[in-house]
Amino acid sequence: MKRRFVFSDYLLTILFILVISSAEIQQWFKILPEMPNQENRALNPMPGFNPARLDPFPRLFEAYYNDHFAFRNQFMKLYADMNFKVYNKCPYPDQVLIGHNQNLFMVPKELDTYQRTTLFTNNELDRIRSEFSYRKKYFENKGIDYYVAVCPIKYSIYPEYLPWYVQVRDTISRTDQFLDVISGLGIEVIDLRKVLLAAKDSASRELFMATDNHWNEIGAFVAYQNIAARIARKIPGVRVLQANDYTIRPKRRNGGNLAHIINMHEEMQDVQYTFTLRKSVKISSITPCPYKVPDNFEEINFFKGYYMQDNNQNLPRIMIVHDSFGKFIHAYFRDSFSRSVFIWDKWQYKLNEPIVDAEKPDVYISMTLESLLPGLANNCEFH
Amino acid sequence: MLFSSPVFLFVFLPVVLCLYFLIGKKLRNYFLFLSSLVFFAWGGVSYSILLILSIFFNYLIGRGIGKNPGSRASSKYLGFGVFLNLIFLGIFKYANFVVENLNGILEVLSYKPFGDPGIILPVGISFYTFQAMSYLIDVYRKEAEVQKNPLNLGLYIALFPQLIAGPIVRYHDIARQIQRRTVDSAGFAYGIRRFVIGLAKKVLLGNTMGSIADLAFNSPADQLSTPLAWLGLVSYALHIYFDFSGYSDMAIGLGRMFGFTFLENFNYPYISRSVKEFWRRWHISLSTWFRDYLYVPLGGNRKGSGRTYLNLIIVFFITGLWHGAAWNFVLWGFLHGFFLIAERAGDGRFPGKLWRPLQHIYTTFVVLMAWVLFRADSPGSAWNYYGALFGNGALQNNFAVYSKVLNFEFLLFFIIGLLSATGIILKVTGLLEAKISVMKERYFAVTEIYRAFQAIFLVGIFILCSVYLITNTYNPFIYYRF
Repeated sequence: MKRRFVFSDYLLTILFILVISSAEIQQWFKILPEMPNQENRALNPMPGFNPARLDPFPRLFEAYYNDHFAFRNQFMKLYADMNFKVYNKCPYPDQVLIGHNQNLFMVPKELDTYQRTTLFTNNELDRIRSEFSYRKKYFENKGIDYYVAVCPIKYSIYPEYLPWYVQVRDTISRTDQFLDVISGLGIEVIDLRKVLLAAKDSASRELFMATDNHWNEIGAFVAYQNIAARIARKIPGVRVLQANDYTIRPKRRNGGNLAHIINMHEEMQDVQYTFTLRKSVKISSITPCPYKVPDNFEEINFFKGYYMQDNNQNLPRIMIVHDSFGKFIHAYFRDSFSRSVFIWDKWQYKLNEPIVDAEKPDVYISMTLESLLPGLANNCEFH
Repeated sequence: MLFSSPVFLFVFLPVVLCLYFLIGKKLRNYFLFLSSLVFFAWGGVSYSILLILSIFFNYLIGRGIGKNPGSRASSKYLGFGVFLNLIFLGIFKYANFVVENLNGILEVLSYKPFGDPGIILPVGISFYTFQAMSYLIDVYRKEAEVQKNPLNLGLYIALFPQLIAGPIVRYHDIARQIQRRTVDSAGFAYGIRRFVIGLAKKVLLGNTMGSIADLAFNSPADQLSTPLAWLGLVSYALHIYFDFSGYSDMAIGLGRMFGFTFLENFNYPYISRSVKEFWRRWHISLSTWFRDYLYVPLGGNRKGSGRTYLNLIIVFFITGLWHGAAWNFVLWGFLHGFFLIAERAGDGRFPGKLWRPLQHIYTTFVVLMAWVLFRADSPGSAWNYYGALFGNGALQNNFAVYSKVLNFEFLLFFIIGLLSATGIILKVTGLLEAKISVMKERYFAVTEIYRAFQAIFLVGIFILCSVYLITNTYNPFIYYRF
């Protein structure tokens, strides 16, 4: 019997051959426009071919090939879109949790902090007690007012946006343990969880960004006002700026760091607030960094130093050691103090004595995100 | 190299296919052998020396047997060949296990233990060693001609589609195809279909189920709730089925692209109504191998009930060990062997006389319970898992469980997995295919339009699998380690 020409067999064969060859065709001829890589890591390089050491070559080559696959960025984007829009789930659930109203939450470190599934051990608490006891004496000897502030994670302020299955599992948290130890030493503690929770009910605007794990400019301003008011109790000359000292304008912007992780930063929008001082308040100027920057860390992140333009000597000097949350408060403090120095020491939260000696601040604040407290406990210098 | 790796799909496969059809027919076996060596070496260049050594000594012993098949001399050759293959497997697969157990005994007796042999299991050794033994036995039994060309024997042992995870192809099933085979457009397209279906089973269904199974089986005993334990176990049953049968589909599909026809390895094992039936449907190439080359030579069921039971116990003890050098695999084999004997002892009344749904429930329950032993890291962790299954579980699940389970993707793939593994999807598509084939003669153009859409759909599935492969780092083959 004469065999029929079966179009579908040929179609399947041609399409299949085309698809399996497409990566190499794209690699050489760049038919599709390239997409930027969204991953925040160095891609694997092409391994050298050494006939004397062949065994590791295939593994290294595969790592290189996977990282440089011609459609890698297109596929990553497609995967993110598919998960987000079709499956209604997070493409990287180990990194980001999608809450109600498209509020994103960071999973590493922050989820277990909120759920209270890991607490400090007695040994860790002893180390913290010992270190902060040293710091307290250090600042007392220098006549510097010392404050320890803890910034809240988004989970602590907006638990109502979390899925039902994310629940607190213990009565005490790591943050409570830490603050108990610090206040037990007689150090001034600023628990910003309580401050922001109280402000949330009265504020008409959100205090955290929806697509980011950080607070927004409003949340940071609330934190600033509370800290500045606490300082003003001891140093009455400190000026606590009020919301009406600024013109506040909301502005739409692309999604924040969590939207970026799930490859949806262009689709997900967020609100950014610009705080513009009214003319009656003095403007400050920035100074270059004269200190040693931690290895593999950018100077622009490590140090920010401001002087008031008229160098008003009546106002006190402040130094704040912080993490990424601290970036949002610079603008408010620099307009309240004659000299403001902000140190982001690569999450080491050191005392930074050489900088203290050089800057001679009147007020020193150690400001840490609650999920990063274990880092503070483990990185402290243990004097 | 794994079939489900971008390097295989987008570099190795197109290059090998292209060159295979460009070169002359006479050179194709040599080229395929060479390609198979490259494929194998990709998983560990040093291991290729073992593979080549295995091909070499099996070739020489095969020639010895082939000089006078059936004679006493050939029996000696066969005995020596089987012994060498078993020693080969024993050293590279079981030495660590033996030393570990010996050390346990020595420790009790307060003797100095042996040092750790530190032998790394070579990829695919269980599969290619069994194929090599199949060659020797088939030649001895005169079921196949001795292979005079060492490269052709090398091609049989090392043929890349089935080299690292089967199916275990018996020599007499494929000897003729090594000498002569043809590829036509229908066969090639069929090969693509099987390959893509296998890839989808592995990447979309297998990996998704596997991540839930891992979550359950890797949970500490005090964090494993009873619902999670059951979900994890069912997910594991689906995972191992889709992972392994998907690999077999890919192997069969690739074989067809090069003109080989391998026997089927799975036939919907989860619809079985007895453990005996399960073994007729699960990893058919392995159970057939054991039947032909171990159970029957031991006497099979020809020497009375007692001997039959003993033979079954031996076969399932070795089946367990074949899957892994650990006691939980041995227990897994014994559990299956025990229920096979129980079914045989019941003289067909059990479970055959039970109400049909009860037969399914009984078989599924036994198979699931046995999978706990198969998946657990040790008999101790299997015991803890049983505890969680039957009520002694944690009261709460952790976040990862909810985030991985409560989404449309998992639910979709879980339902597709259940429908597919129980043959329901096959029944529906089978009805459709039957209608199409009836229409084919009369309305050829209409059926071709349907098939063209099917082709486009399959290519879409292939691209979807590639998206998952590129973005997911979770991609291990279970059977890769055997």
